[in-house]
Amino acid sequence: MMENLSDRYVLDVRNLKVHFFTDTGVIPALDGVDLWVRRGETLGLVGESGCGKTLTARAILRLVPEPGRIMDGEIYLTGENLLVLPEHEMRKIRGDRISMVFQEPMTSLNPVYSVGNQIMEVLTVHRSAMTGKEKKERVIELLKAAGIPSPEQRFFDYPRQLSGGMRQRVVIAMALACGNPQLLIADEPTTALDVTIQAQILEMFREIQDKMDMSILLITHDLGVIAETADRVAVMYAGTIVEYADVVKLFKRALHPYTLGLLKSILQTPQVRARRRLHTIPGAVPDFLDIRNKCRFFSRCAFAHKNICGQEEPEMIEVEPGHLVRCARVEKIEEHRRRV
Amino acid sequence: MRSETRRFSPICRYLRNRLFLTGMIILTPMILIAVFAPIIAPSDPLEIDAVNKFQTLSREHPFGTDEFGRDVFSRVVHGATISLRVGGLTALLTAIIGVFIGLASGFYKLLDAVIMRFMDGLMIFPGLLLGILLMAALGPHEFNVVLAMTILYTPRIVRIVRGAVLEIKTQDFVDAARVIGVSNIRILWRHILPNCLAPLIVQVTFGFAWAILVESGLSFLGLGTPPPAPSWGNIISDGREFIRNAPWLMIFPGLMISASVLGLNLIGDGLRDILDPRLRNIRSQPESTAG
Repeated sequence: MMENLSDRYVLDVRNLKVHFFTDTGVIPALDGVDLWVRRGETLGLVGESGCGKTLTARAILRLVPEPGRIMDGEIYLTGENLLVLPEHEMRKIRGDRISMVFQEPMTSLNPVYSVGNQIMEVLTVHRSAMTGKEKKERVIELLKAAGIPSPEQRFFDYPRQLSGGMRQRVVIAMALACGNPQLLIADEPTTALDVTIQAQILEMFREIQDKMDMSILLITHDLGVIAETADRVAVMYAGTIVEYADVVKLFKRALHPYTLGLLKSILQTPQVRARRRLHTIPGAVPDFLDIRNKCRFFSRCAFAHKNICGQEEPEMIEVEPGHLVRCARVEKIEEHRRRV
Repeated sequence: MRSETRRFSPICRYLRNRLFLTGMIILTPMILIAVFAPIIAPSDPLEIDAVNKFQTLSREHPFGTDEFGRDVFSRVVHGATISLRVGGLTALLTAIIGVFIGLASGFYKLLDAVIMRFMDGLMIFPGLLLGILLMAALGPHEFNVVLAMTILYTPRIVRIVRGAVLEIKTQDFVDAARVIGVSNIRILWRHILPNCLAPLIVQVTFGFAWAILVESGLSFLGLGTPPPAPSWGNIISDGREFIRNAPWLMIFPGLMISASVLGLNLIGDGLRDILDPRLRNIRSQPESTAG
């Protein structure tokens, strides 16, 4: 049974809970997150700022920032539970079997080392058997694969000498340095880049994925990026997943009111032409201390019913294979869709 | 073209800074004097010549002679060796110890609480007072002077390093290093330490100047480098009884102390401007403890 699962799922996160112990109380920042990523697929994780996307990524690497702690759950990487591993075993996994690309290429490289030197560090940590010369050759190969022109010279460049797009390529080269990560976590990899560079970087992700049969967990708040890159989508809201669907299905038949709100908030050409105001979801992410015993989206939801949504947290229901939604009012929403 | 600009620009950047350049112009001769003292000095600084005591300035004795007829010029020249050696050694020791403690304190929260309270405890004493206490306890020896001053100055270095670590450890590249599986110790050495070097170097330069002043102060009180070794403070201390009749005994070593401290402070200010442009226009507050 377990063997089977690990074959299908590279990453399988179950009931992950991360709590922050602050002066004002315990904040359940991740409150039972379930995620799974199949071999070779891209799972998009979307949600607004502060909903726990990045925290999920950090929890998978077991690098939850202070004063947070992983309270409960299981994280399986090809069948191996990461949460029971000792720290030194976990270090071997980071950067080798799971890699991560950060949002800000401007600050995620150390200003005092040349980019070549920094990529080499990954090899120093994980491939200590390699000689200096082998490492350098490998790094130049990586820079070339990441689309950096004249890699032999760029090897000696310092981060400040490179543009944002080039730096992000360096960061990606670093993430792939060990060869074949089973999972690449990309945390808003294109947010800090302009649109043309963004397209190039996304294209690069696709190429790498095809070549290496690698799984990607793509975190973003940009549904455009999701539409271009992801195979499946998990929509996150206030520390839990509210909807899973294939990417096509999500854009066609989203069911959770929050997902609907997100989709309506995309800027579209007719809207610009008509000079209509951009749709926004009313309100803000609720106070995490005040979401017990009701739907998390209750206070902002147009479909909410006091006696149903205000009484208890809805269960995840499977509306069809592969499409799950955490909403008690699915019938109402379907009905509304038919009318519109 | 590219490699050429790279080779020349750093040195130019240092020399274009007027503070740094002036400081270097003052300090370089001092260091040369200290290193080549045995060659420069015309006679043995300890050689007593009872006949020729209290000679005024002459060709034979450019700075005159003291109460034992010792050549003050030779004593001041050899004093450069002692004073700069004591100051330099103190700066080096505080840097090494301060970096270790500062890194640990900035990085590990639990250690921080303990270490910083201890450092605060050291810092509440007026510098010279604690120096006197330490010297009285340790006994007169050149190395004990270094040790006492190291104990006095390390807290300042610790604070600087700790502050830098606290700022740097929140930066993304530290997280990025964690994500590729780098251990804490390696993150400290490879990623955090090099990024704290700028404020550290500046503070160590000021520490050097401070140490020269404090050593003179302690020697003046008879608690520094034990006589008859001619540290600048010792020469002044010996000459203070004769200030009316033989002022040259105090003037020349006094000038040397002022000049070297001025030079080092200028270098420190210059380095601060060069290494950290954000701090431009913030001048150092001189931490004078003795004179």
